[in-house]
Amino acid sequence: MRSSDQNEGKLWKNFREGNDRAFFDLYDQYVDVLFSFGIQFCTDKEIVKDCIQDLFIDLYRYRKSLSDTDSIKFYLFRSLRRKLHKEISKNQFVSLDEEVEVRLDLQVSDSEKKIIGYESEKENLHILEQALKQLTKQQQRALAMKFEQNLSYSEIASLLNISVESARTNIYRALKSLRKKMSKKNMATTALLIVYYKSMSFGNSILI
Amino acid sequence: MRQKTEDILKKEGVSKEDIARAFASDTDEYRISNDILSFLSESKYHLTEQEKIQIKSEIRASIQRKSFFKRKFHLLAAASIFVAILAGLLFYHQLKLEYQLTEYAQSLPDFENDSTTRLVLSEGREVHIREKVSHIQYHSQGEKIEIGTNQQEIKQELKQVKPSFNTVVVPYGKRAQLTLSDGSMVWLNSGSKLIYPASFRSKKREVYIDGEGVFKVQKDLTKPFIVKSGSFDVEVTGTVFNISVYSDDKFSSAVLKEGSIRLDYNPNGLFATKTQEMLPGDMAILNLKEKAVETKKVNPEDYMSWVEGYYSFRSEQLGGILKKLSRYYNVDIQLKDRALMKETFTGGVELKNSIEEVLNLIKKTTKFNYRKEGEQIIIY
Repeated sequence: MRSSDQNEGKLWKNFREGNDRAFFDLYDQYVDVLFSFGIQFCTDKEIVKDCIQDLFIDLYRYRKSLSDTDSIKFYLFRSLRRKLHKEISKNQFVSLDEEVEVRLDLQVSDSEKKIIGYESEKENLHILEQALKQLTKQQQRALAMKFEQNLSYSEIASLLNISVESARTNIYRALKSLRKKMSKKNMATTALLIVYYKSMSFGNSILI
Repeated sequence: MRQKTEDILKKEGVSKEDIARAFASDTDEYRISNDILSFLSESKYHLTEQEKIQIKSEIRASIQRKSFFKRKFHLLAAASIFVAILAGLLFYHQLKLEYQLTEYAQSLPDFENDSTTRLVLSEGREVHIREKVSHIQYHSQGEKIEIGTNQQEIKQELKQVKPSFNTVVVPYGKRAQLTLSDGSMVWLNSGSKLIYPASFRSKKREVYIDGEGVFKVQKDLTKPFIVKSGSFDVEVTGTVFNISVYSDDKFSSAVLKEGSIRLDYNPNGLFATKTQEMLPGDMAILNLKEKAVETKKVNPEDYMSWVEGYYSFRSEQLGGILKKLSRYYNVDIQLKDRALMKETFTGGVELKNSIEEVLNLIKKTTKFNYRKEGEQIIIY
């Protein structure tokens, strides 16, 4: 953690001193996380892409006057949030709270692809996906910021314009409702598994 | 004390090891926490590698353009003066004409939606035409013009030296059919503007369009016909094609039916012009933001059929269809649902029918509803 902070600081410093390579390294390093952050606020992918592009062009243009920053990531998120807000209020076709179309292309690692494991993994994803959709927009954003973008509670609070306390509450409640949905399902699976193991114990005749 | 999933995951910077430690004794709760953590840490929306590269190259282009001008400003200034003088000396006459048309076209006020089609003559006189489809026919010297089905004749005086530009402005809900002084025919769709010299006296026949038009160009190998626009220039000798260059669209396009045409466009707004040769059945689409041209094979009739009074759509997105209909019928159609915009429709639409009849037809295969609110039609 420490050394990555130092690297980050160095990258930022090189970039501010006019090193183009450092600038594009910044881009490579942050474009994914900026996108996954931005899409939480605006469901139009193209607008998020445009804003990210603008953000980096501005960053480059004003690099000489940028200050030393503790967290590049937070600085970038804040700027992107501002740009998106401006863009969305300009565009009548996009509303902030439009239903997000959740499409998951999560990958299951090979070691976890055991016969039963894989099926239940897919099922778990489905349950979590549904459960996530039922959370409030605010809760979804807070979760993404904490777990995808790895931001701290105080950063989340600041980006969402809420108190640190309500950032905590939002995340706590969201986690709790995800956990409840999973526990419910888990009980059902356990029952199924017992039946499955029982039939296995009948011997070879059952395995084809 | 037994902790629940939410108690452990709420920690700042929680990791898989934390969970393992906390739930060594409780496998169910461990599994759930683990599943939830992996689910939440994974990004749910991704940019493709291609998209990332594209954004990067656009950023690169933008910052390089800026620093290029900054660093090479003196050189560039000197070079451009040199080029200007050279060009001025060599192509004075030619350049002047070309420049004048584009400059004149772009100096005209922005498109205003009137209720009548306007023909603006060289001395500033305006003729207002009330018909749904205006017929305007120039005689070969450009001084005599016949208008309308009853062939009302008007005259304009043309100066000998300077080119005299005329303009036709077609509002939403109207169309126009023109015969230019060289015999070439142009059909203008709703919301379009065409600027052209009353008679073609220079070495090239040049016109400027904003909007959509079908051109049937009279063959003349000695005088190429050039359609200029804010997006690209199309150079032809004799041919039939459609071009659509609405300034409020994200894409401009050209579709060739007969003959061959050359499309010139400026990919980065600098000096380099790119050229695209087109064959019959080709459609070239210029993405105005990325300044890139793509071509595909189409049935050209689909893009000319509005001249005959119908639109034929092939898997066309509702967003695009409604934009065309909104122009053709001059009605404000509101569609805010982005998913609905991307729904597609295939089929023919009779344009002599009312907008409601047309929408009812599309509605049969493409799921949407509409209601009228005053002058507006709301799609939902």
